Amino acid sequence: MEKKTALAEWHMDHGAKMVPFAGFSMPLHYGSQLNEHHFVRKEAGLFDVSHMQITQFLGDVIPMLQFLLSQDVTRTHANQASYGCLLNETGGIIDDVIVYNVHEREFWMVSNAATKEIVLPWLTQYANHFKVDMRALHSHSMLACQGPRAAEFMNVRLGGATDIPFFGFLKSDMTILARTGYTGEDGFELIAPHAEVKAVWEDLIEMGVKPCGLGARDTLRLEAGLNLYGQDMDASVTPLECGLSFCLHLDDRDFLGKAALLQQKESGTHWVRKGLVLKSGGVLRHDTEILGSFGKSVVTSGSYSPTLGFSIGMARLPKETKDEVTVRLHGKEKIAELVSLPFVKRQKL
Amino acid sequence: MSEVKTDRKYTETHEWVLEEDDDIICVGITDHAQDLMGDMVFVELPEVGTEIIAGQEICVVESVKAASDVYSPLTGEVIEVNEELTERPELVNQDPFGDGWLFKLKISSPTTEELLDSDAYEELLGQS
Repeated sequence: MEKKTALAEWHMDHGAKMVPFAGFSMPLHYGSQLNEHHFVRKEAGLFDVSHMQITQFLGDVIPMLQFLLSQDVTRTHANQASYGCLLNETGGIIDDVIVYNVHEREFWMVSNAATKEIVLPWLTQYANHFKVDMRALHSHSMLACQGPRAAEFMNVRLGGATDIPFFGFLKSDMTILARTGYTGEDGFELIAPHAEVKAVWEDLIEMGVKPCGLGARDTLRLEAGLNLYGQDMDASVTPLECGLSFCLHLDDRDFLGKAALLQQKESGTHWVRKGLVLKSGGVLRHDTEILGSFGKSVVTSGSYSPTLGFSIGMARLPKETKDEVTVRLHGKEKIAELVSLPFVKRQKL
Repeated sequence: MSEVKTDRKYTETHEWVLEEDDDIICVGITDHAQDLMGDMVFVELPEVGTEIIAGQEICVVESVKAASDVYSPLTGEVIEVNEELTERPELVNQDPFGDGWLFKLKISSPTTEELLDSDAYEELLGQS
Protein backbone atom coordinates (compact mmCIF):
# COMPACT_ATOMS: atom_id res chain seq x y z
CA MET A 1 0.00 0.00 0.00
CA GLU A 2 1.67 3.20 -1.18
CA LYS A 3 1.95 6.30 0.96
CA LYS A 4 0.13 9.39 -0.24
CA THR A 5 1.19 13.00 -0.19
CA ALA A 6 -1.24 15.67 1.02
CA LEU A 7 -1.94 16.52 -2.64
CA ALA A 8 -2.64 12.95 -3.79
CA GLU A 9 -6.43 13.44 -3.87
CA TRP A 10 -5.97 16.65 -5.87
CA HIS A 11 -3.79 14.82 -8.42
CA MET A 12 -6.33 12.04 -8.83
CA ASP A 13 -9.19 14.53 -9.17
CA HIS A 14 -7.29 16.31 -11.92
CA GLY A 15 -6.57 13.46 -14.29
CA ALA A 16 -3.17 12.37 -13.02
CA LYS A 17 -1.86 8.95 -14.00
CA MET A 18 -0.59 7.80 -10.61
CA VAL A 19 2.37 5.44 -10.31
CA PRO A 20 4.29 3.99 -7.38
CA PHE A 21 7.55 5.82 -6.71
CA ALA A 22 9.81 5.29 -3.70
CA GLY A 23 6.90 3.96 -1.67
CA PHE A 24 4.57 6.80 -2.64
CA SER A 25 1.71 7.09 -5.10
CA MET A 26 2.85 9.94 -7.35
CA PRO A 27 1.60 11.61 -10.56
CA LEU A 28 3.54 10.45 -13.62
CA HIS A 29 1.68 12.97 -15.79
CA TYR A 30 -1.71 14.66 -16.12
CA GLY A 31 -2.29 13.71 -19.76
CA SER A 32 0.98 14.40 -21.60
CA GLN A 33 4.44 14.56 -20.10
CA LEU A 34 5.72 16.21 -23.29
CA ASN A 35 3.23 19.08 -22.96
CA GLU A 36 4.12 19.49 -19.30
CA HIS A 37 7.83 19.59 -20.15
CA HIS A 38 7.34 22.29 -22.80
CA PHE A 39 5.16 24.32 -20.47
CA VAL A 40 7.91 24.46 -17.82
CA ARG A 41 10.46 25.69 -20.38
CA LYS A 42 8.05 28.32 -21.73
CA GLU A 43 5.85 29.34 -18.78
CA ALA A 44 5.69 27.73 -15.32
CA GLY A 45 4.91 24.25 -14.03
CA LEU A 46 4.10 22.96 -10.58
CA PHE A 47 5.51 19.77 -9.06
CA ASP A 48 4.46 17.96 -5.87
CA VAL A 49 7.77 16.85 -4.36
CA SER A 50 6.41 15.99 -0.92
CA HIS A 51 7.75 12.46 -1.22
CA MET A 52 11.20 13.85 -0.44
CA GLN A 53 12.66 13.72 3.05
CA ILE A 54 12.71 16.97 5.03
CA THR A 55 14.85 17.11 8.16
CA GLN A 56 15.54 19.89 10.66
CA PHE A 57 18.78 20.05 12.69
CA LEU A 58 19.06 22.18 15.83
CA GLY A 59 21.94 22.92 18.19
CA ASP A 60 25.67 22.81 17.48
CA VAL A 61 25.03 21.55 13.95
CA ILE A 62 28.01 22.80 11.99
CA PRO A 63 30.64 20.27 13.18
CA MET A 64 28.30 17.42 12.19
CA LEU A 65 27.55 18.81 8.72
CA GLN A 66 31.23 19.65 8.19
CA PHE A 67 32.05 16.00 8.83
CA LEU A 68 29.35 14.42 6.66
CA LEU A 69 28.97 16.63 3.58
CA SER A 70 30.99 17.12 0.39
CA GLN A 71 30.33 20.86 0.59
CA ASP A 72 31.66 23.12 3.31
CA VAL A 73 28.54 24.71 4.82
CA THR A 74 30.59 27.46 6.48
CA ARG A 75 30.93 28.89 2.99
CA THR A 76 27.21 29.69 3.13
CA HIS A 77 25.70 32.54 5.12
CA ALA A 78 22.33 32.61 6.83
CA ASN A 79 19.44 32.25 4.33
CA GLN A 80 21.63 30.52 1.81
CA ALA A 81 21.30 26.91 0.66
CA SER A 82 23.92 24.61 -0.84
CA TYR A 83 23.76 21.46 -2.96
CA GLY A 84 26.09 18.58 -2.16
CA CYS A 85 26.46 14.96 -1.09
CA LEU A 86 26.46 12.86 2.04
CA LEU A 87 29.68 10.85 1.71
CA ASN A 88 30.89 7.52 3.02
CA GLU A 89 34.40 6.50 4.08
CA THR A 90 35.57 5.72 0.56
CA GLY A 91 34.28 9.03 -0.79
CA GLY A 92 31.23 7.37 -2.33
CA ILE A 93 27.87 9.16 -2.40
CA ILE A 94 25.16 8.09 0.04
CA ASP A 95 22.70 10.69 -1.25
CA ASP A 96 22.62 14.12 -2.84
CA VAL A 97 21.01 16.79 -0.71
CA ILE A 98 20.23 20.47 -0.39
CA VAL A 99 21.20 21.98 2.95
CA TYR A 100 19.65 25.24 4.19
CA ASN A 101 21.68 27.49 6.49
CA VAL A 102 18.96 29.12 8.61
CA HIS A 103 21.49 30.30 11.20
CA GLU A 104 24.47 28.88 13.09
CA ARG A 105 22.27 26.68 15.26
CA GLU A 106 19.66 25.61 12.75
CA PHE A 107 19.99 23.87 9.37
CA TRP A 108 17.41 22.06 7.27
CA MET A 109 18.11 19.30 4.78
CA VAL A 110 16.11 17.88 1.89
CA SER A 111 17.19 14.41 0.78
CA ASN A 112 15.76 11.85 -1.63
CA ALA A 113 12.61 9.81 -1.14
CA ALA A 114 14.23 6.59 -2.32
CA THR A 115 17.13 6.75 0.16
CA LYS A 116 15.21 7.37 3.41
CA GLU A 117 15.82 3.89 4.81
CA ILE A 118 19.57 4.46 4.59
CA VAL A 119 19.91 8.18 5.11
CA LEU A 120 17.76 8.59 8.24
CA PRO A 121 19.60 5.97 10.32
CA TRP A 122 22.89 7.29 8.96
CA LEU A 123 22.11 10.86 10.05
CA THR A 124 20.60 9.73 13.35
CA GLN A 125 23.77 7.94 14.40
CA TYR A 126 25.84 11.04 13.73
CA ALA A 127 23.29 13.38 15.33
CA ASN A 128 23.58 11.29 18.49
CA HIS A 129 27.36 11.37 18.32
CA PHE A 130 27.54 15.12 17.73
CA LYS A 131 24.65 15.79 20.17
CA VAL A 132 22.49 17.48 17.55
CA ASP A 133 18.69 17.64 17.82
CA MET A 134 17.47 16.01 14.59
CA ARG A 135 13.79 16.13 13.58
CA ALA A 136 12.24 14.46 10.53
CA LEU A 137 9.41 16.83 9.51
CA HIS A 138 6.43 14.55 8.80
CA SER A 139 4.14 17.55 9.14
CA HIS A 140 5.55 19.13 5.98
CA SER A 141 4.86 19.01 2.26
CA MET A 142 6.92 20.48 -0.56
CA LEU A 143 6.10 21.96 -3.95
CA ALA A 144 8.30 23.25 -6.75
CA CYS A 145 7.20 26.01 -9.14
CA GLN A 146 9.58 26.10 -12.10
CA GLY A 147 9.89 28.08 -15.34
CA PRO A 148 10.65 31.55 -16.74
CA ARG A 149 7.33 32.83 -15.31
CA ALA A 150 7.69 31.16 -11.92
CA ALA A 151 8.91 34.35 -10.23
CA GLU A 152 6.01 36.34 -11.65
CA PHE A 153 3.46 33.86 -10.25
CA MET A 154 5.19 33.31 -6.92
CA ASN A 155 5.48 37.05 -6.35
CA VAL A 156 1.72 37.48 -6.64
CA ARG A 157 1.13 34.70 -4.13
CA LEU A 158 4.12 35.13 -1.79
CA GLY A 159 5.45 38.66 -2.20
CA GLY A 160 9.22 39.17 -2.17
CA ALA A 161 9.92 36.03 -4.16
CA THR A 162 11.75 37.86 -6.95
CA ASP A 163 14.20 39.36 -4.46
CA ILE A 164 15.44 35.96 -3.31
CA PRO A 165 18.80 35.27 -4.97
CA PHE A 166 19.59 31.95 -6.65
CA PHE A 167 19.96 29.32 -3.90
CA GLY A 168 18.88 31.88 -1.32
CA PHE A 169 15.78 31.38 0.81
CA LEU A 170 13.34 33.12 3.14
CA LYS A 171 12.19 31.47 6.32
CA SER A 172 9.15 32.36 8.33
CA ASP A 173 8.30 30.20 11.35
CA MET A 174 8.34 26.63 9.94
CA THR A 175 8.15 27.62 6.27
CA ILE A 176 11.03 27.92 3.81
CA LEU A 177 10.72 29.48 0.35
CA ALA A 178 13.92 28.81 -1.61
CA ARG A 179 15.06 29.81 -5.08
CA THR A 180 16.08 26.29 -6.01
CA GLY A 181 14.91 23.59 -8.39
CA TYR A 182 15.61 20.50 -10.43
CA THR A 183 14.68 21.67 -13.94
CA GLY A 184 17.44 24.08 -14.95
CA GLU A 185 14.90 26.93 -15.14
CA ASP A 186 14.34 29.72 -12.63
CA GLY A 187 12.08 28.52 -9.87
CA PHE A 188 11.14 28.10 -6.26
CA GLU A 189 10.63 25.32 -3.78
CA LEU A 190 8.25 25.78 -0.88
CA ILE A 191 8.71 23.64 2.21
CA ALA A 192 5.83 24.17 4.62
CA PRO A 193 3.12 22.46 6.69
CA HIS A 194 0.68 20.44 4.57
CA ALA A 195 -2.23 22.91 4.68
CA GLU A 196 -0.06 25.81 3.56
CA VAL A 197 1.46 23.92 0.63
CA LYS A 198 -2.02 22.79 -0.44
CA ALA A 199 -3.35 26.35 -0.34
CA VAL A 200 -0.43 27.76 -2.33
CA TRP A 201 -0.70 24.89 -4.83
CA GLU A 202 -4.37 25.57 -5.49
CA ASP A 203 -3.81 29.32 -5.80
CA LEU A 204 -0.95 28.90 -8.28
CA ILE A 205 -3.06 26.50 -10.39
CA GLU A 206 -5.85 29.05 -10.40
CA MET A 207 -3.37 31.66 -11.68
CA GLY A 208 -2.40 29.48 -14.62
CA VAL A 209 0.58 27.42 -13.46
CA LYS A 210 0.20 23.87 -14.82
CA PRO A 211 0.63 20.70 -12.74
CA CYS A 212 3.53 18.53 -13.96
CA GLY A 213 4.43 14.97 -13.06
CA LEU A 214 7.48 12.80 -12.60
CA GLY A 215 7.81 12.11 -16.31
CA ALA A 216 8.40 15.77 -17.13
CA ARG A 217 10.55 16.16 -14.01
CA ASP A 218 12.94 13.54 -15.35
CA THR A 219 13.24 14.89 -18.90
CA LEU A 220 13.70 18.42 -17.58
CA ARG A 221 16.47 17.55 -15.11
CA LEU A 222 18.31 15.44 -17.68
CA GLU A 223 18.27 18.31 -20.21
CA ALA A 224 19.72 20.49 -17.42
CA GLY A 225 22.51 17.98 -16.83
CA LEU A 226 21.39 17.20 -13.28
CA ASN A 227 22.12 13.84 -11.68
CA LEU A 228 19.55 11.39 -10.34
CA TYR A 229 20.69 9.41 -7.31
CA GLY A 230 20.46 5.70 -7.94
CA GLN A 231 21.12 6.15 -11.66
CA ASP A 232 23.95 8.66 -12.20
CA MET A 233 25.55 8.00 -8.84
CA ASP A 234 25.41 5.60 -5.94
CA ALA A 235 27.55 4.62 -2.96
CA SER A 236 30.30 3.31 -5.25
CA VAL A 237 30.63 6.59 -7.18
CA THR A 238 32.53 9.66 -5.96
CA PRO A 239 31.64 13.29 -6.73
CA LEU A 240 34.70 13.48 -9.03
CA GLU A 241 33.32 10.66 -11.16
CA CYS A 242 29.83 12.06 -11.72
CA GLY A 243 30.32 15.74 -12.45
CA LEU A 244 29.99 16.98 -8.87
CA SER A 245 33.48 18.40 -8.27
CA PHE A 246 31.87 21.81 -7.94
CA CYS A 247 30.27 20.84 -4.60
CA LEU A 248 33.32 19.05 -3.24
CA HIS A 249 35.40 21.31 -1.04
CA LEU A 250 38.59 19.49 -0.10
CA ASP A 251 40.31 22.21 1.95
CA ASP A 252 40.08 23.51 5.50
CA ARG A 253 38.31 20.65 7.24
CA ASP A 254 38.41 16.99 7.97
CA PHE A 255 35.44 14.99 6.65
CA LEU A 256 34.37 11.43 5.95
CA GLY A 257 35.93 10.23 2.71
CA LYS A 258 38.46 13.08 2.48
CA ALA A 259 41.55 10.86 2.30
CA ALA A 260 40.09 8.65 -0.42
CA LEU A 261 38.98 11.66 -2.47
CA LEU A 262 42.32 13.45 -2.17
CA GLN A 263 44.00 10.31 -3.42
CA GLN A 264 41.58 9.94 -6.32
CA LYS A 265 42.00 13.59 -7.29
CA GLU A 266 45.78 13.31 -7.23
CA SER A 267 45.94 10.18 -9.34
CA GLY A 268 43.64 11.80 -11.89
CA THR A 269 42.91 8.51 -13.64
CA HIS A 270 39.28 8.28 -12.62
CA TRP A 271 36.49 8.32 -15.19
CA VAL A 272 34.29 11.39 -15.46
CA ARG A 273 30.72 12.30 -16.44
CA LYS A 274 30.07 13.13 -20.08
CA GLY A 275 27.05 14.07 -22.16
CA LEU A 276 25.89 12.08 -25.20
CA VAL A 277 23.40 12.90 -27.94
CA LEU A 278 21.86 10.62 -30.54
CA LYS A 279 20.95 12.73 -33.55
CA SER A 280 19.53 9.76 -35.47
CA GLY A 281 16.35 8.04 -34.24
CA GLY A 282 16.22 5.95 -31.10
CA VAL A 283 16.43 6.68 -27.40
CA LEU A 284 19.40 6.24 -25.06
CA ARG A 285 18.26 4.72 -21.78
CA HIS A 286 19.71 3.76 -18.40
CA ASP A 287 22.10 0.82 -19.01
CA THR A 288 22.37 1.29 -22.79
CA GLU A 289 25.74 -0.23 -23.73
CA ILE A 290 28.56 2.06 -24.86
CA LEU A 291 31.55 0.70 -26.79
CA GLY A 292 34.90 2.35 -27.41
CA SER A 293 38.64 1.91 -27.32
CA PHE A 294 38.33 1.98 -23.52
CA GLY A 295 36.17 -1.15 -23.60
CA LYS A 296 32.62 -0.94 -22.30
CA SER A 297 30.53 1.50 -20.33
CA VAL A 298 26.82 2.21 -19.93
CA VAL A 299 24.49 5.17 -20.11
CA THR A 300 23.64 6.16 -16.54
CA SER A 301 20.62 8.31 -17.44
CA GLY A 302 19.10 8.57 -20.90
CA SER A 303 15.89 9.81 -22.43
CA TYR A 304 14.27 11.65 -25.29
CA SER A 305 14.81 15.41 -24.99
CA PRO A 306 11.53 17.15 -25.78
CA THR A 307 13.22 20.55 -26.12
CA LEU A 308 15.93 19.33 -28.51
CA GLY A 309 13.90 16.70 -30.39
CA PHE A 310 16.44 13.90 -30.07
CA SER A 311 17.81 11.59 -27.40
CA ILE A 312 20.34 12.65 -24.75
CA GLY A 313 22.19 10.75 -22.07
CA MET A 314 24.97 10.85 -19.51
CA ALA A 315 27.71 8.30 -18.91
CA ARG A 316 30.96 7.72 -17.02
CA LEU A 317 33.83 7.59 -19.50
CA PRO A 318 37.59 8.13 -19.50
CA LYS A 319 38.47 11.83 -19.33
CA GLU A 320 40.15 11.75 -22.76
CA THR A 321 37.08 10.35 -24.57
CA LYS A 322 35.91 12.85 -27.13
CA ASP A 323 33.93 13.39 -30.33
CA GLU A 324 31.88 10.18 -30.46
CA VAL A 325 31.26 6.71 -29.07
CA THR A 326 29.30 3.70 -30.30
CA VAL A 327 26.10 2.72 -28.52
CA ARG A 328 24.11 -0.45 -28.90
CA LEU A 329 20.34 0.03 -29.21
CA HIS A 330 17.88 -2.77 -29.93
CA GLY A 331 20.77 -4.91 -31.18
CA LYS A 332 21.99 -2.26 -33.64
CA GLU A 333 25.09 -0.09 -33.30
CA LYS A 334 24.70 3.66 -33.59
CA ILE A 335 27.03 6.64 -33.17
CA ALA A 336 26.45 9.00 -30.26
CA GLU A 337 28.20 12.39 -30.19
CA LEU A 338 29.83 13.70 -27.04
CA VAL A 339 28.68 17.17 -25.97
CA SER A 340 29.26 19.40 -22.98
CA LEU A 341 26.62 19.82 -20.30
CA PRO A 342 24.00 21.11 -19.82
CA PHE A 343 22.18 19.96 -22.93
CA VAL A 344 19.70 22.84 -22.59
CA LYS A 345 20.52 26.15 -20.96
CA ARG A 346 18.09 28.14 -18.86
CA GLN A 347 15.60 30.17 -20.91
CA LYS A 348 16.34 33.90 -20.77
CA LEU A 349 13.95 35.75 -18.51
CA MET B 1 -11.21 2.29 -19.49
CA SER B 2 -9.70 2.34 -22.96
CA GLU B 3 -11.60 2.58 -26.21
CA VAL B 4 -12.30 -0.59 -28.18
CA LYS B 5 -13.87 -0.14 -31.63
CA THR B 6 -16.35 -2.78 -32.73
CA ASP B 7 -15.59 -2.42 -36.45
CA ARG B 8 -12.28 -4.29 -36.27
CA LYS B 9 -10.37 -7.29 -34.95
CA TYR B 10 -7.58 -7.44 -32.36
CA THR B 11 -4.50 -9.39 -31.30
CA GLU B 12 -3.36 -10.40 -27.84
CA THR B 13 -0.38 -8.11 -28.32
CA HIS B 14 -2.67 -5.07 -28.63
CA GLU B 15 -2.67 -4.47 -32.36
CA TRP B 16 -5.91 -3.76 -34.24
CA VAL B 17 -6.78 -5.03 -37.73
CA LEU B 18 -9.23 -3.25 -40.03
CA GLU B 19 -10.26 -5.12 -43.19
CA GLU B 20 -10.20 -2.61 -46.05
CA ASP B 21 -10.69 -5.07 -48.86
CA ASP B 22 -10.69 -8.83 -49.50
CA ASP B 23 -6.95 -9.03 -49.07
CA ILE B 24 -5.90 -5.69 -47.64
CA ILE B 25 -5.77 -4.87 -43.93
CA CYS B 26 -4.81 -1.75 -42.03
CA VAL B 27 -2.94 -2.19 -38.75
CA GLY B 28 -2.30 0.00 -35.72
CA ILE B 29 -1.95 -0.27 -31.95
CA THR B 30 -4.89 0.04 -29.59
CA ASP B 31 -5.88 2.82 -27.24
CA HIS B 32 -4.85 0.56 -24.36
CA ALA B 33 -1.36 0.15 -25.82
CA GLN B 34 -0.79 3.86 -26.49
CA ASP B 35 -1.99 4.73 -23.00
CA LEU B 36 0.40 2.22 -21.42
CA MET B 37 3.32 3.55 -23.41
CA GLY B 38 2.79 7.26 -22.92
CA ASP B 39 3.91 10.05 -25.26
CA MET B 40 5.34 8.61 -28.52
CA VAL B 41 8.57 10.11 -29.79
CA PHE B 42 9.70 7.81 -32.63
CA VAL B 43 8.00 5.31 -34.89
CA GLU B 44 10.24 2.99 -36.90
CA LEU B 45 7.99 1.92 -39.79
CA PRO B 46 8.60 -1.15 -41.95
CA GLU B 47 9.69 -0.71 -45.55
CA VAL B 48 7.10 -1.04 -48.27
CA GLY B 49 7.61 -4.41 -49.93
CA THR B 50 8.64 -6.19 -46.74
CA GLU B 51 7.31 -9.72 -46.57
CA ILE B 52 6.23 -10.69 -43.09
CA ILE B 53 4.82 -13.70 -41.23
CA ALA B 54 2.06 -13.53 -38.63
CA GLY B 55 3.55 -13.04 -35.17
CA GLN B 56 6.85 -11.60 -36.42
CA GLU B 57 8.08 -8.20 -35.22
CA ILE B 58 7.37 -5.73 -37.97
CA CYS B 59 8.05 -2.30 -36.52
CA VAL B 60 8.93 -0.43 -33.34
CA VAL B 61 7.06 2.32 -31.53
CA GLU B 62 9.12 4.28 -29.02
CA SER B 63 7.74 6.48 -26.27
CA VAL B 64 9.61 8.59 -23.75
CA LYS B 65 9.21 5.63 -21.39
CA ALA B 66 10.19 2.64 -23.53
CA ALA B 67 10.48 1.05 -26.97
CA SER B 68 7.90 -1.56 -27.90
CA ASP B 69 7.81 -4.08 -30.74
CA VAL B 70 4.72 -4.24 -32.91
CA TYR B 71 3.88 -7.71 -34.25
CA SER B 72 2.32 -8.43 -37.62
CA PRO B 73 -1.17 -9.87 -37.04
CA LEU B 74 -1.17 -11.77 -40.31
CA THR B 75 1.12 -13.00 -43.09
CA GLY B 76 1.62 -10.82 -46.17
CA GLU B 77 3.46 -7.92 -47.78
CA VAL B 78 3.67 -4.29 -46.61
CA ILE B 79 2.04 -2.12 -49.28
CA GLU B 80 1.75 1.21 -47.48
CA VAL B 81 3.06 2.89 -44.33
CA ASN B 82 1.86 5.99 -42.49
CA GLU B 83 4.67 8.41 -43.40
CA GLU B 84 3.10 11.19 -41.31
CA LEU B 85 4.23 9.40 -38.15
CA THR B 86 7.85 10.28 -38.90
CA GLU B 87 7.06 13.95 -38.28
CA ARG B 88 4.14 13.45 -35.93
CA PRO B 89 4.56 10.32 -33.78
CA GLU B 90 2.02 11.83 -31.35
CA LEU B 91 -0.76 10.82 -33.75
CA VAL B 92 -0.46 7.32 -32.31
CA ASN B 93 -1.46 8.74 -28.92
CA GLN B 94 -4.04 11.21 -30.18
CA ASP B 95 -5.88 8.96 -32.64
CA PRO B 96 -4.64 5.36 -32.33
CA PHE B 97 -7.56 3.92 -34.37
CA GLY B 98 -7.53 6.61 -37.06
CA ASP B 99 -4.70 8.97 -38.03
CA GLY B 100 -2.29 6.93 -35.90
CA TRP B 101 -2.50 3.87 -38.19
CA LEU B 102 0.87 2.22 -38.79
CA PHE B 103 0.90 0.17 -42.02
CA LYS B 104 -1.21 -1.75 -44.54
CA LEU B 105 -0.68 -5.36 -45.55
CA LYS B 106 -1.70 -7.29 -48.63
CA ILE B 107 -2.41 -10.56 -46.89
CA SER B 108 -1.70 -13.95 -48.42
CA SER B 109 -3.75 -16.08 -46.06
CA PRO B 110 -6.86 -14.53 -44.57
CA THR B 111 -6.77 -16.45 -41.30
CA THR B 112 -8.75 -13.86 -39.39
CA GLU B 113 -10.23 -16.60 -37.19
CA GLU B 114 -7.06 -16.37 -35.12
CA LEU B 115 -7.80 -12.75 -34.30
CA LEU B 116 -9.96 -11.58 -31.42
CA ASP B 117 -13.24 -9.79 -32.02
CA SER B 118 -13.96 -6.62 -30.04
CA ASP B 119 -15.81 -8.51 -27.27
CA ALA B 120 -12.93 -10.92 -26.78
CA TYR B 121 -10.45 -8.03 -26.71
CA GLU B 122 -12.54 -6.20 -24.11
CA GLU B 123 -12.46 -9.39 -22.05
CA LEU B 124 -8.70 -9.58 -22.42
CA LEU B 125 -8.46 -6.05 -21.05
CA GLY B 126 -10.75 -6.95 -18.17
CA GLN B 127 -13.22 -4.33 -19.30
CA SER B 128 -16.25 -6.49 -20.05
